[in-house]
Amino acid sequence: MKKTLTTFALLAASHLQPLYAHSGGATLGEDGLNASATGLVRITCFDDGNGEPAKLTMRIIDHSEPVEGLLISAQLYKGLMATNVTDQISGDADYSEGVELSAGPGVYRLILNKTAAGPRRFDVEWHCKTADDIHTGTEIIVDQFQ
Amino acid sequence: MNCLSFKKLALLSISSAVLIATQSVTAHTRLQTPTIDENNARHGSNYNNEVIGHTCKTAAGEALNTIGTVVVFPDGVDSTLTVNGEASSQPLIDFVQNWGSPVQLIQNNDIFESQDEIQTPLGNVVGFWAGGGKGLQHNLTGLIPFRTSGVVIEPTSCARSVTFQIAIADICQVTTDADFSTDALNLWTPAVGSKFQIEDSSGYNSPATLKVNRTIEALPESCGEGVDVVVIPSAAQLNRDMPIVIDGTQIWPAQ
Repeated sequence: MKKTLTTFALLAASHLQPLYAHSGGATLGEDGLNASATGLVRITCFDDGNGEPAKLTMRIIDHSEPVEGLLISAQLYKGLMATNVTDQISGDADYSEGVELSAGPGVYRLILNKTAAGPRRFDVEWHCKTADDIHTGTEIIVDQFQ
Repeated sequence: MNCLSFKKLALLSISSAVLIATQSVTAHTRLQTPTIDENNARHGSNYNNEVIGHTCKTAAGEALNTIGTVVVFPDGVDSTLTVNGEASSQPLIDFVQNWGSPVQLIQNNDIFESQDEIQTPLGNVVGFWAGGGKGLQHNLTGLIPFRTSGVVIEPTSCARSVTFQIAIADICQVTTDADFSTDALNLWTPAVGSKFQIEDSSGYNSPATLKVNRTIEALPESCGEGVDVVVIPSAAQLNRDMPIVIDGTQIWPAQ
């Protein structure tokens, strides 16, 4: 039976974009059982015309209600360099402190994990920057999310 | 309309008809720029176009407009590889550092009213679709703009090039996958046993390709001349990512 794709227009109008550039949110360990739930991400820093990348900066915010002993952390590494950060207060309006890893252009690894079983709803921000703190090319790939 | 302009129009129509006849046997849907250099800190993304060279022609000879298109890159997760033409069990990450979310769609409604990116369950963008509206007129060529992420070839690998096979569907009539035929669509896909292939069609096992040449780090000395790697999407990935799904409703293929 012949049909056309005119239904596309109506349906697409309600399609929402869930992510914004260089920030994203999800729930780690959504089933509430897996204390070892881990996210694994690659971020590529490249020169998009704004300048050669010198570093990757990152911060994280935990939106879930506070649970004693349950915190979310992020580890960042590239080559032989690494750093990490934890949002020490869940559910407040503040991000963790920002951290940066000055490892130049190329592919960085970001690991997200938490200290105990239980879901953690979070947002993370990541930005590749030049030595003068100018935002430059930033692309992300998610390899694992549990 | 005066006589002269009518003649011009008639000549144009004839020229167009000849062009269509030529295109229908030669113009597979491909990328405008099928070969690019590796890049990371030097250039950034590569801007490109899907080029739809011709629409569909039914067995009865009727030319149909293209009403939708789908483009899917290999996800690099369960993709298969060949190295110098031989099947390889090595994972893609042995050859490319940052493959996983390779494409971004550029908004453009010149041909189709609606468009969006195709995401894997992890949220990586591996392709896009466009459809609806008046579509691509059967005697014209269509360009769908997009850009690809800068590809970083693993510097310790022996890859001198990495070629990604890209599955494309040009849809002229919406049917179920069981009713796929060149009367309804053209499929330019690798023959990996997915639902999205039409045996004996010109697009059978004839995917578009994007070849990335190694241009940043020299090959390790032990590699000699280096190797050419080809990345092929799996049947499972094509069955998952080729359908057009909007807000949980599959629009194509019809169900």
